[in-house]
Amino acid sequence: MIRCRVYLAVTALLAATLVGLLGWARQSAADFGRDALPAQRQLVAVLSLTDLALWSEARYTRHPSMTDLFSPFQDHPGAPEHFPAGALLAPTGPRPATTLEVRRHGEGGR
Amino acid sequence: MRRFKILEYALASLLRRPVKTAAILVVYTLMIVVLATVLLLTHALKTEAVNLLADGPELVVQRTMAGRHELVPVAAAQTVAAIPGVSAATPRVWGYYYDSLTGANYTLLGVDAAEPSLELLAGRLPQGDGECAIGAGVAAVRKVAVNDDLILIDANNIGAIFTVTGIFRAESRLLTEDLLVMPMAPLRRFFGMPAELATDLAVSVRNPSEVDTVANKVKRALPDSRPITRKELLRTYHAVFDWRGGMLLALFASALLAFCIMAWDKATGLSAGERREIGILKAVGWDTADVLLLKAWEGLAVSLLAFLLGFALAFGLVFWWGAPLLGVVLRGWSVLFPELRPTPYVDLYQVATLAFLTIVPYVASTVIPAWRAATTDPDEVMRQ
Amino acid sequence: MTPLICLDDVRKTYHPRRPDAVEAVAGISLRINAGEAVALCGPSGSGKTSLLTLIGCMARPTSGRVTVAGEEVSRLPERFLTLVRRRTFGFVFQQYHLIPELSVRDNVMLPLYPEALGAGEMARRAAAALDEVELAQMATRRVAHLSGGEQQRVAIARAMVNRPRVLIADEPTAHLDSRLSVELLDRFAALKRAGLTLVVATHDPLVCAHPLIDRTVRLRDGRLDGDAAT
Repeated sequence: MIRCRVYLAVTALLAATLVGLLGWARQSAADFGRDALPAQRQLVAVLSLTDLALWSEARYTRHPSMTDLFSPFQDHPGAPEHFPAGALLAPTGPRPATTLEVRRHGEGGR
Repeated sequence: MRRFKILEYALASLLRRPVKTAAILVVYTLMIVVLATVLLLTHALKTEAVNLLADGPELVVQRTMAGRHELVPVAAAQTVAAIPGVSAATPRVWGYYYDSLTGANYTLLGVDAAEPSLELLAGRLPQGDGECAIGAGVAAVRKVAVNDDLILIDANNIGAIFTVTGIFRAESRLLTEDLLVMPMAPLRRFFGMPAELATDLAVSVRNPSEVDTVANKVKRALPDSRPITRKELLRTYHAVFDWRGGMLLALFASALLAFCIMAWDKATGLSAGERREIGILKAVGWDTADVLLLKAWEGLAVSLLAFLLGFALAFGLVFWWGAPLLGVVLRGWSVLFPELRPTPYVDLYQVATLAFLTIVPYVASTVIPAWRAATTDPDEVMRQ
Repeated sequence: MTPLICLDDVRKTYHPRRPDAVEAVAGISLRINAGEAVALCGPSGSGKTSLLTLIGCMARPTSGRVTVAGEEVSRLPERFLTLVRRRTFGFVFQQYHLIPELSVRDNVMLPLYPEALGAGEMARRAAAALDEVELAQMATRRVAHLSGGEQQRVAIARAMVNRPRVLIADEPTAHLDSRLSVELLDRFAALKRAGLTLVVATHDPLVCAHPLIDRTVRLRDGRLDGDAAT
């Protein structure tokens, strides 16, 4: 039964590691939320930042939420991407929740 | 007791084919590493983005002309500020700068802060002409420290000298890596932007539940504007990372497919040797349930070990070692790419799903093909 | 005295309802008493092996009744049939059917896994069974590295490890020279003296004529062709 014991011991150890990792993750996420997050948010508020500084190679990857809808398609909508990150990045600018109201000239608006 | 004895036998029979077992274990573990890395990284970045950006402007109003982003008149701020529910509308000035010296793009941001010190800023915010604060990435790539000079080429192709008054601390890299902050007036001069225009408007709304209503009113008051609410902004991050995760998974889909083919091959063709062994076990008095338990243990022993190893490895890669495997893919052409060391936000549900989706099919693919052999009479199995 | 094993008009058809259907056992009635040594003799293809698998609960008859120790087993659910097979019968197959990559001891222990025994007890029983066949010193060798005669002794040890009441052997002398055959039959005789019931299928006259055999049952084309005490 030696193999069985070794396997169960290894598995138990790994499972304990997994639990430990998840516990550590929870704890450090909570620590981050308590200790570091307020300063980061202060930064965001003071500089009024809107995006993460992950991909600075093009404006539509640097500010994915801020670009106009055409930016990812520099030449035409079917054009291959210029930037690798753009290939990974959804070419979706934000779709505003606002709606357009279409009316003819002369009709009364609200 | 019986169960563990059968586990012992299952392990012995796995060890009878050490090379095959090791190969399966390695491939399986690698597959889990890739899947878990993508899931952990995208979830952590997504959560972090949402958490960090929660204090950003509630509403950003941009102007579009001919489908392109246009500068917005500063006067529009008054129009927006007059809308009921809006507590403030501030024109923002920001833009991009390509530094041919280093091949990097910087994001230049105009900030007129009343309070010059920030917790995550070593030094102070720039207060006047010829001053700037920079992100750690810019400082590293230009090799400058606080109080050093930084030369940039302005819109008139003339070099402008700025004194670095502060460098954002490394902890804020995800937000500030490529930032270059200076007061608005000098930034306008640097860009050659007229004083009556701004890049966009940051709007704060008194009641958060009214943001959508305000956005609608802005759209009506300024027909050429494009209001972007914070909710949309964060939703973009959800979409972006889902998409990116999906893209990476697609890249690794071929590996996944290869593994599936291997599993399928194993599943459909019970080798003659395996079939004979099942017959022998049944002939010497093993029950169908014992044989199936044996097969289940064989599958579980490999898949559980692979999952636990792979997940632990992926966890280390993402949260401690900066995702070196995916970093190359994620980095793309970015010259300034913040070190990926996200806060470990882990979704337990996601972990459970990954475990379920990797362990269960593998165990099933070992048990199910054995089923038929295990339920027939032993003499028939051995005859074949 | 009620017989230990009782077969009533037992039939076994392979691939029924197919053009290549074979009736391997075509209506056999047979009684075997406890402690008896029975030889099933007949040319190859006469249904010896099929009859052995029916006696040993390895297969179920297409029709007819098989009774073991007063219990009808031909209609038992699989789980109970397995239990009867494990507790009552020990098999020595013609091809031995050992698992070649496993050690001698691991092969002998195979029938013990489903029993509620500790690992120590399993090892003890396996050692005792190997002692019986004089293979104790080869316990850790892999079966694939053993000679044919040694493999057969491993198979006998495996058959005996569960202390069965009946030992079933299919053509035990087929792969042995005459010296080893005599040795094997002496071993069987010793087991019989210890109270074991023996059922041996063979077409070897040496076996049929051996003094240990109480009765010879002749088979031809799946039917009894004679049943005589020797």
